[in-house]
Amino acid sequence: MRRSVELDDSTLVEILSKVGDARQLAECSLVCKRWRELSSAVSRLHFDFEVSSMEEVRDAEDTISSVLHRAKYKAPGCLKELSVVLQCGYGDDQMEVSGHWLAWAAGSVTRLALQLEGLEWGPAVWSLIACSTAIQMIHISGTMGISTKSLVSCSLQALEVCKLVSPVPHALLPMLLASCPRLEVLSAVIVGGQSLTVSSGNLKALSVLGQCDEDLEAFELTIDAPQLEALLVGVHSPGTLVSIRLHSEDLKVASFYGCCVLDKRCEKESALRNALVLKDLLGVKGIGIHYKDVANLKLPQNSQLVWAICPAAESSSVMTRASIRLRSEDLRAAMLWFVSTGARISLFISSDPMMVLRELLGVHEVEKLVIHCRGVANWELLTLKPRYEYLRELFDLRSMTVVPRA
Amino acid sequence: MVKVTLKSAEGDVFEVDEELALESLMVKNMIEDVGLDSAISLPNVSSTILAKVIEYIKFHMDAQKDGSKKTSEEIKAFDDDFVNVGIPTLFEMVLASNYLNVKSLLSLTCNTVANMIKTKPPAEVKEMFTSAKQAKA
Repeated sequence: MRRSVELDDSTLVEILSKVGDARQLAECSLVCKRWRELSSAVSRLHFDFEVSSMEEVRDAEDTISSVLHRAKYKAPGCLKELSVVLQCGYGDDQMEVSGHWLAWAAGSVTRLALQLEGLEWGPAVWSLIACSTAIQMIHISGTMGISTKSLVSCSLQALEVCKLVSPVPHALLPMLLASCPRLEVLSAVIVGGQSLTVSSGNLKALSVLGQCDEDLEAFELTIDAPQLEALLVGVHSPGTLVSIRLHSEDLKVASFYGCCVLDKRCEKESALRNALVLKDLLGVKGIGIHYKDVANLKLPQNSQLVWAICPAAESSSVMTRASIRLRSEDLRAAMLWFVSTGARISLFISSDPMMVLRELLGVHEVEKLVIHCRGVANWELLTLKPRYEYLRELFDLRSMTVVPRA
Repeated sequence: MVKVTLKSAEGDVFEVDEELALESLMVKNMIEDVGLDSAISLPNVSSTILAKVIEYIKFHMDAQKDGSKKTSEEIKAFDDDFVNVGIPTLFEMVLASNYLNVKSLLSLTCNTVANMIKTKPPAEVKEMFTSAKQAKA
């Protein structure tokens, strides 16, 4: 015998939250009265509009506004995640999105994702975001100017800002950091500009991806974040010298990419061959250098540990033969992190470092790992799934420690 | 290996490894409260559904073990096949995973229902839910 099955309200709300898309939820609310009530109580809402004229932008914004308004009054505090995508296919940069509907999301939304393509944010958008005191994470993209009022969103812990177009980043980023003292994670994509200063007391993770102007002589990035633990910098700058000044006491992982995936064109160029200068790396324990060709890499004299990321990481399923040739006089230890799968990796080391192979992600899927080295005294291997057969071809090895990670 | 005895709504007894039973947070709490001596009775879960839930947890536990040869495609194929059941059974699994508090299964079954709702017009969705409500032998 089969029992009769009826889903209770909370389960149904969970299912409707997974539907997420506002247009599909509107259809759901037509099912019956109970569904109409419940569809206002979802925890996740997603809007996706394609617009081609100012009227359509206004219509889209009004629709978002009315749905959010209904949700706020029918089920206050339920909505936690809001994402809005507005796309304009015709590339008319003059069209502005006011974001007035953000006021209805204030107070309950904790994760906010706003994505504009071919459109511009109105001047009030930051003030509107600032009203939403509950927000902990923002992902925002689209061209934007500086709001006259500063942002006072103290609860914000994570922020992702995409496509900050010059000259805004120099003014907007410091302003954002100053107004969000609790910010721990910042990820920003910048376009243009000559320099960028990031200074924050609480920041733990920072990722800056950007593209320099082509005729620029030098790009300077200054980071002053004493609590910073993880840093990722990717600047695409053909022929431009990039200097990074870093002040941090807790830095555990740093990674610099010679070119970033901001633009599809960048992927095939091996930009920034010798132009990366690392300065003032006080107290840094690991530096990751992501290069297409590391043959002539200049390493900072005072770093004790260099951590190279296998260049094959970028190739997806294609079989790649990656080789790293490393020549260094002062290197004391090196750490290698392979993130590729299905690749053959050959490693040539001609200095006498103490090697630490750490986090060989996917190394169990690597077909063959050959490490050629001479006179290495100590090896330490930290890996998720150690497989000895891959290390069979090691020679001149006096001691090796295999420490599987817990 | 310590065994846990689970008793379904019909009174059928299922003996499973403790490790497996702990995947259900609800059973985990019960074990912490009353211990392993007596059978844990689950009056809201029928035998058929309980067997399915155990099958699901067992597959995923094996797939996560070191040395497991299962690819992500195989796991996905299992999941797809697992939720490819009649609406009433699917709803019972949603309710059971919610009651037993098995997060991964709840998410899988809810996603399946959500995908069904997404692709159907309101009238069909209504029909789907009404028929599940009236489903009798």
